[in-house]
Amino acid sequence: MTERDRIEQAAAHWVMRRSEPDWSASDDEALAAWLEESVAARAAFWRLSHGYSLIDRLSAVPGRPAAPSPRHRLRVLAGIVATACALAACAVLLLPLPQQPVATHYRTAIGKIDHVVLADGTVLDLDSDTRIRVLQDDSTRHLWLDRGRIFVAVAKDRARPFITHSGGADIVDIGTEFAVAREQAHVSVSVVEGKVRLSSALYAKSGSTIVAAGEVARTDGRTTTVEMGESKGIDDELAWRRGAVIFRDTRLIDAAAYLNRYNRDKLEIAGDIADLRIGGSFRLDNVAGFSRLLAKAYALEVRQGAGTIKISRQ
Amino acid sequence: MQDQTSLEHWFCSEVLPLEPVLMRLITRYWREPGEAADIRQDVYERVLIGAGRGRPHQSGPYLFAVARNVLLNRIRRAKIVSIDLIAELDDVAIEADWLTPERHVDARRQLRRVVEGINRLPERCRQVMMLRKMEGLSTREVAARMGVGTDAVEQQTVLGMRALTDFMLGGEGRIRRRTPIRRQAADRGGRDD
Repeated sequence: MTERDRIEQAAAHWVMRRSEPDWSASDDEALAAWLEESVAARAAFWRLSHGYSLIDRLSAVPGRPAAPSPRHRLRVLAGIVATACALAACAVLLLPLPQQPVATHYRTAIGKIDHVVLADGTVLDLDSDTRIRVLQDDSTRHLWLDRGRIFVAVAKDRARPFITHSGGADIVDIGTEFAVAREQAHVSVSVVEGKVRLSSALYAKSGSTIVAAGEVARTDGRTTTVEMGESKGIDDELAWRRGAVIFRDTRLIDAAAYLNRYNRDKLEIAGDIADLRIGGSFRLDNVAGFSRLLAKAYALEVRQGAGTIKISRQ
Repeated sequence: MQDQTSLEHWFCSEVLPLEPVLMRLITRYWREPGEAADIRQDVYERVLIGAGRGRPHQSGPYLFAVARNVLLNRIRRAKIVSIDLIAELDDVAIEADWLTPERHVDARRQLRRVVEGINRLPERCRQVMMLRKMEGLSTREVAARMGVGTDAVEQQTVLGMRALTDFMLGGEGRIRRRTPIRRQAADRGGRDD
């Protein structure tokens, strides 16, 4: 490995790490010190971060055609090429930006539900423990749901599609109101009003799905399922906006995991009662009331510890 | 610090767009393709030192003047020197038309180049880059998503970033690996090293 190679390798690491969410002020200082070391370091770092930022253009894709163009030879990659064709149409608008615009970050703490109005008039509800990024310019509106759950009432703007990215899913708004929740590898989309188009960012070949009002779609990026016309399902999905949750025949372990998103005292459920089914409507912040109910109605033992509430059989 | 920011801006907007022409110049006068990237780095280093003292009026001619000096130095230091080569290099007139065509690559072409570059990457590397760039996922999230370790994601990101930068700025965009298996390719004139 030549000296140049070594420097480039190190510079690439810095460029990569700088875009990580846990990048801190002390990392910033360390990077500045490294850049100070030599002109060669600066040349390599600037060159790679410039090159890496050129690829960002790919992320501004306003939806992609369901079928890849048959003219392209690279079969495996056809989806991406098709994306490029779609992009070419708006490339002139998107590309000449002299600098990459910076996304605005929003986050909520555990137990907090926030209400945000974006520059374009779109209204968001951010659930507890949620992280999003928003990027809007003259031609596009993007929102990344990195963690948690949001409800979106999109302000109408035909010229600028509103695209929500989460996990491997892209949700292009065609109508007005929907909610997106992200749980590990799964993303679920509940449409309240209008329609959205749901497509996979990674598996372009899997095409896109239109999700209409009253439907709840779940996707892991590869496969998408849509539950039809259950307005009760949507109400349940959106109960968090009122600070409530509705459980219907829900496993106790899942209900506990749900409530744990909102409370610092975490419920711990003993293994032998994990599959117990429960139902009812609960306040999200009232974990004490929830555990009292378990004690009363199910005759379970509740032990309050430091930061935990242990539930087991008596 | 302000100086460095403006120097970076000048470097990215004035010098890096000329990389394809620079690489052509280097490979034309230097027979060892494996060393082209080293020479490029050398040129950039000198260009930055020079521009740090004061920006040249015309970036293009300045870049190529520096490149010519770097090449001449290397040729003079080489054991076997072709006299023709030096004579030819001394005459390198940086004609205006070297500079114009690449300066303003139109948006559509540049986008096609991004896609082409991504498509040239090995499958796993491509997936990592797509998840990062299209989804904005972090290393940890990409790792969880693909079911691999964060080390592997970091390694693929670094490989992909370097290959794509080379490609986007006009190079080959090949993956550099340091495994001995690739030696042969390098000996045959590949750009890996």
